[in-house]
Amino acid sequence: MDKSLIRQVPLFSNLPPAEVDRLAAVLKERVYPTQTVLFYEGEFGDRFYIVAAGEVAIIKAMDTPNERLIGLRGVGQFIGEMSLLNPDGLRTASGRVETEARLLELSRDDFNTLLRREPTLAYEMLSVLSRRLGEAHNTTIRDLTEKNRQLAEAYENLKAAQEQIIEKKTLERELEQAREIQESMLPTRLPPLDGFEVGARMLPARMVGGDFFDVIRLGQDRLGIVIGDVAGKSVPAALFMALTRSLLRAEALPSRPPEEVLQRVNHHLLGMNAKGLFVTVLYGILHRETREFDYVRAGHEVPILWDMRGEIIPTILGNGQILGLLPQPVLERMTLTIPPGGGMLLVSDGVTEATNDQGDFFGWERLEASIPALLGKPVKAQLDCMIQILRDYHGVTPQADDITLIAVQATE
Amino acid sequence: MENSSSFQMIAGLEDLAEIRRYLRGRAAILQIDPSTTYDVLLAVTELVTNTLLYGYQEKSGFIEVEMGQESDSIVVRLRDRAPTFDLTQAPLPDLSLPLDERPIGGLGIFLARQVVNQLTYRSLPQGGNEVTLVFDQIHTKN
Amino acid sequence: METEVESIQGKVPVTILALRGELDASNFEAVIAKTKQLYETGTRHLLLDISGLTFMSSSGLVALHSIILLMRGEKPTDTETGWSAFRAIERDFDSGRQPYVKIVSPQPKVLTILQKTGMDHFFEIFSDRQTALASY
Repeated sequence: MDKSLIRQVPLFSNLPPAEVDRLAAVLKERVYPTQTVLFYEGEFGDRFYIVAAGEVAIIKAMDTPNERLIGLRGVGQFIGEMSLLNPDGLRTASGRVETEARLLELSRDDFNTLLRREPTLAYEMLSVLSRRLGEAHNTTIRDLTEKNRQLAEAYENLKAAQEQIIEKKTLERELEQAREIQESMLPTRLPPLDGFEVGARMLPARMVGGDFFDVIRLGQDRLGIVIGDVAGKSVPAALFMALTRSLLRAEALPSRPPEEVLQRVNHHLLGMNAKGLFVTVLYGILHRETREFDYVRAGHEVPILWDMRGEIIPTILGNGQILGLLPQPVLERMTLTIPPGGGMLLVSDGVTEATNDQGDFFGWERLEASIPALLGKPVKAQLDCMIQILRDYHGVTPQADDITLIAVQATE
Repeated sequence: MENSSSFQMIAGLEDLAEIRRYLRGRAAILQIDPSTTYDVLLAVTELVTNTLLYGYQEKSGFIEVEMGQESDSIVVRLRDRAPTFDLTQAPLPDLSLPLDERPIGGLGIFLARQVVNQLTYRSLPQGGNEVTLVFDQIHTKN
Repeated sequence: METEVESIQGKVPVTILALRGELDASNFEAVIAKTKQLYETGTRHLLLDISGLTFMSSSGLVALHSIILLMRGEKPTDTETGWSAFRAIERDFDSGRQPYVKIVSPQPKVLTILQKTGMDHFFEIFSDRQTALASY
């Protein structure tokens, strides 16, 4: 035992030589590797340590979320004195070696004997301990105050967030319900017509949309086909859409001519004072035997027609005014004929006005150029194909408007 | 494959008729004789039905159909995204087998095999199955 | 696919069930249901006129098997297992053709399928209605 080491410890620096000798005889020197736990908080303390080399961390609530480093004891400092002074003798904190430490250990009995023999040692220890206690006390108070402030803040934030979440969830739930209702209103099974296949798809831009479509069975030989678009977005548009669709179906079922159906629907809409909500509609009747499609487009997009080779057949632009605005809108009836093996596509403006990241519209030319890709495919595949083309076109730009497509394919 | 054309869709059993309509149209363009055309319709109907009933557990699912020519034969390729199922491993019908040991969809695969000249299976690296059917045209068939 | 029913009075009353269009897994159950309806309203001799059937898949064979069972007064088995049709063939092979359900005017490719699957052992198949009706 290097006696000079003992003297290096400030606590023992004033010990008489005889005492140092006695100490040297009873102190046990030990080396501990890093991370060794010398003692655990709460266990009975049976010895006192002096750090000859290395560092030991004094840790409160070790291995719990409240773990805190109280101090780091280096060369010349002592550890483990608190339990030796405490009535119950329990460690008030844990001690863990931070850097490989060489420690001089003094047993509890030898420690007590030392203190009795050298009372001045006791006083010196007391002053060191007082200081440490004071520091610890202040630190604790400071920590507690800060913790309290943080908790209070967190609580307020949580409350505010919870309110927001609840509100958002309620809104989401309501929108989801509205969407489900809307979806259930759009026909899933389309009535058939011999010699033709009809498919339709609607992709709302938001949860609920303003576009709609319908396919109405009018006896064995005719099919009513509707596509419409309410000007405006979200919930009000969705409500107006539901209304218009129902009115149209009701007026169409007695097999009235298209222009008459739309005049009557317009009349109802005006009568309901629907606050400036307008709707574009295309309604037509497809005749099985003649393959003719008699239609009126009230401000809606023209149909695209093609033959079995995929060549576009130009359609004459008829006149038709938007519904919900004028008491007697111009509604001109047009007729086109779907050739054998040919097809027809009805779209909403969400298709032609789909924008890419440059802000350019998809447009009619691109739409007509897409037709060869659809040629002859089952209508579902045609719709999937068209939707993929549109998705590829608008890329990362979010879909701005509802997209609706109705595909009619002549099977003979 | 030459003169090939394909389509993809989410199909259900109710779409089988449309798929046949498409194949008939392609067959007309490729000038395939009526007998071979029927064989194509039958094989595709049987295999797609199998995929829908067993691969997609009676729900709708992704189907891709490709049809074209390779020298004198008609080639049809069917792709799906259903769990891996190698139908070539399905045993040929054994009439002595008790009913519960019958192979899945065995009757349909049996018929399909009767009308194709070649049937090969490949599981797709991205998941799903691919079956290639080769039909020799009438003048080379027995 | 469409079905059409006609009743003919010969030596015995015969119901003709005409099938037109394409028969596959999406609609074969409707044919079975129709036959059940006919049996329940008294039909005991059935003639299937499939001159208008332009396509028939293995589901058609399942339907034919179920029709035989129905007309014999038995309950059709689980229609999902196509092999039950084959099992029926194996079981009934010795009994030969049954007198309850006959087939008239199959289109050539459909006839080939019926022959390939041995269905022609259980159904008399005729090429014209007159002969078919006279056979009951």
